[in-house]
Amino acid sequence: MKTTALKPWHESHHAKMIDFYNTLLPVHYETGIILEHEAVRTQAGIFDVSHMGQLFFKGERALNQARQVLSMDIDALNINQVKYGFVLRKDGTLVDDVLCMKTCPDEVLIIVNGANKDKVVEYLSETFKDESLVEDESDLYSVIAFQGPLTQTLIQQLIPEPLDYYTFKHGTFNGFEMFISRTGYTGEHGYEFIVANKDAEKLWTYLLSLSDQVLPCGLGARDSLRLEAGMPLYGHELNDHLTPLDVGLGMFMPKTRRHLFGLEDYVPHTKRIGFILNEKVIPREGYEITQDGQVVGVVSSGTFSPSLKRGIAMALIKADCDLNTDFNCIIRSKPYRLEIIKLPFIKK
Amino acid sequence: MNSVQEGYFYLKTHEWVKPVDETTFLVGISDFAQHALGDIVYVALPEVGDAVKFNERFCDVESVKAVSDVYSPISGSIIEINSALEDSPELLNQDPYATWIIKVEGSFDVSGLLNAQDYTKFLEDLQ
Repeated sequence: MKTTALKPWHESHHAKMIDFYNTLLPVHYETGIILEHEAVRTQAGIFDVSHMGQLFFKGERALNQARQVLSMDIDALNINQVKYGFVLRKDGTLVDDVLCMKTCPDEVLIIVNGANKDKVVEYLSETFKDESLVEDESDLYSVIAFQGPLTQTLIQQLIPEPLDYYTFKHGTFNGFEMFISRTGYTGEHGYEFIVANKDAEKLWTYLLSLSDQVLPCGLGARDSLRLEAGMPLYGHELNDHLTPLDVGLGMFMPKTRRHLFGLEDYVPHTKRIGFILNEKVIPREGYEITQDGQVVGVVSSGTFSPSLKRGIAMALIKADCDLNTDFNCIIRSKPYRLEIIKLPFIKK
Repeated sequence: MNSVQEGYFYLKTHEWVKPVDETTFLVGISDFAQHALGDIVYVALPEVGDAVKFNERFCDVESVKAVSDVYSPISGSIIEINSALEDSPELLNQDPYATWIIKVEGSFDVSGLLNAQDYTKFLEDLQ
């Protein structure tokens, strides 16, 4: 199993560690998921997300490969701009969902899911017949997410001029050489830092020292925060058999590039919904969704929402389901009527 | 972490039973159980009058992370439920040995249960 540069810190602070797709990471600290979640909604939290991978395409030949597998139009990106999108197969199915950062005129960096990093590298090798030019620098970097309303003022101690949403800067800030991007996975104002492993713990403790309102948070809170924010997670809402159009992410699939992946006339098989349960039960991944007694879908992610104090979930259902007819979620053999919510659950 | 209380008897599935008198018993979950579950948000309580059987499920507990069955360390019939858990399930996290889930009328049989010392040893072996 892989570990991160911050593992000694987590263990000395009594984190409950779990194997997250082959990386040992904190699921929560002694504070617990709910308080960590609330800290990010009302104050600020930091997360070790060093399992995320960093893949570079450097130079025109490498960029030409990137153009063939990425959903986003990298030529339309400004330097220091970030764009959400996908690594896709020729048939439009999802290899991964990624952030693409335009670092130089002839270079992009994609941030891939830790669980998918090897798969993406392998897919590029297969596609480009062992002449893949991608450079995997994941082992060099740690990633720390700094999220929550207070980060807006606290960040000024690192970077005085404000960063626009989905932009980043690379440089040395307070002695830390790193990428700072105004991105995140919580639905809150926040930043993500990509920093050399050797500086990770120093940056982590520095961020904690900015205010006693900054809490270390684990993957448990990260999951409930992203679910409230209606954000998909690969392995749950996204997988190898679905296209972005099957999960309601067409807005991230430029019309001008759909033909490259066989998606110009694609008719989706499924759609993604968000729902809430108004009884004291929690929808969990794998639970069935029924309509008129027929199974029409399955919960892809579910949890207790600390903000709404209810069970919330996303589910993939058949594309032709009528959203105006009642749905049930089957929990321990009993149907519970679900209330469909237009995503996100929490609007900021 | 993972405290074990004297005077309580435990199942290997981390429930406890505490005798109140010869025929009355309190049932709850151990400190280890509440740590493993994390923040508890719902307890699906059974009803007064329901029968419980040794080592059989009598309710379930939902934490943010997962749902878990709770097994009874004693056979008998439920004479009271801790209705405070309806609104404050977090009591199970805060004070697991003072927070009982059900009160049972039954007869006590220690065979199949671990005393505090044995349960402590059992937890050590789990680590």
